[in-house]
Amino acid sequence: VQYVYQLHGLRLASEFDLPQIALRQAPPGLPVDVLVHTGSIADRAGVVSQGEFVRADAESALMTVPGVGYLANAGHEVVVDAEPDADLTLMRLYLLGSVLGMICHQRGLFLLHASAVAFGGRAIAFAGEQGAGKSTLAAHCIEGGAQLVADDVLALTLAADGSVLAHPGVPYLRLWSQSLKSLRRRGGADPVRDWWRADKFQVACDAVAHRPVPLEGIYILEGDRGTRLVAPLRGALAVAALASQSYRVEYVDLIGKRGDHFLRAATFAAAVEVAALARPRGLDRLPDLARTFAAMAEVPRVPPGGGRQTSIEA
Amino acid sequence: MIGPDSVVVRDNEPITTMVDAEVVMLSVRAGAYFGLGETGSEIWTMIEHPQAVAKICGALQQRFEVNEAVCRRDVIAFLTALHRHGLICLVGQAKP
Repeated sequence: VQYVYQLHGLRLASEFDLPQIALRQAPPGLPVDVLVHTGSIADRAGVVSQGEFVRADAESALMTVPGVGYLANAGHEVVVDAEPDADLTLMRLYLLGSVLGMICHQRGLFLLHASAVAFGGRAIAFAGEQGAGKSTLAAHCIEGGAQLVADDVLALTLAADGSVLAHPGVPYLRLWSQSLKSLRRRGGADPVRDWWRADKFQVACDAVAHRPVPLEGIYILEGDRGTRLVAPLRGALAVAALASQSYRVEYVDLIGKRGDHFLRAATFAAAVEVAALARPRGLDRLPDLARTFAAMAEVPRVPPGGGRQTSIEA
Repeated sequence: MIGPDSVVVRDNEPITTMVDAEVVMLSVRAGAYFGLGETGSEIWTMIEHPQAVAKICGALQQRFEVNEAVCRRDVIAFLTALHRHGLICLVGQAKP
């Protein structure tokens, strides 16, 4: 049996099911980008780590967590070596997080530590450190009518026409209990307590994008500086922001791809608006901010060529 | 010490690219990103091959309205900063 999923723009075939991304299940039969299977990892014995890659080179990377070893090979294969008593929930969480992150870096796929939502077919992304409010702001945008594209990990690619595409990631939001209380949730599935932290919850989203969405802007969430709300970043500042807000950016050094990663960050910085967003203090002000993004999405874009196609006939 | 007769050239360690019409660099050795701005980016294009500082100043003076002393002072300050971060090499002294 093989389970096939479409996540971060990749077709992932797995020997075992991945319930967290059940909504991302894809029809079988098409070529697979990443194959996940069980097997034994020969040189795993004696290797102990808590979710860090302990051995990595340009080709393959080995990570262990209690009871499970993972070998990520050349961006297209993950070998999972789990002991009989291993916690399978934990096994799947590391697989979809750090291990898939390594696979993406091996492939040269650009992953941002960001959440993204789409208003009417145009996506915006919120990046920032843990606790910056990425998921909460995304949740308020979704209350305002947006679709969820990805939470926490966002894959970007460059389309043939030079635009940037945001690829669907996990179909749920991870929210702090206090953020959850600030939302006016009606119906829907009950939040599930997060494995990692007792005060965080996984909230399934009904409004989920299933196809890549053109990305219009990346906002780097920062603390309230009491001055301008949005400050566009240009040139080196935009590149440095995207490079440092990459998901698991430390892996690029392990596999000797820092230079490639920098050039990719530069490509995206040149192709999409990057801005620092001073986040207002207090959860009660986030709905207003979300409404601002919804309103901005309503503004028609000037078509290429300056919008002068319409001529008035005399 | 960089002076008007110094000959400088880009160091080949930093990885460079253009974003928003400015040169953007990653130097793994320096552990930092650099952005050169508009005029800095022009100077960067002039030092792909070894170039005397006086020649760089001459070229800039033809492009911008700037007096010779100010131009020299600013160019030398800029190149000294690049040199301090290991982004350029001093390869010799031009014959005066």
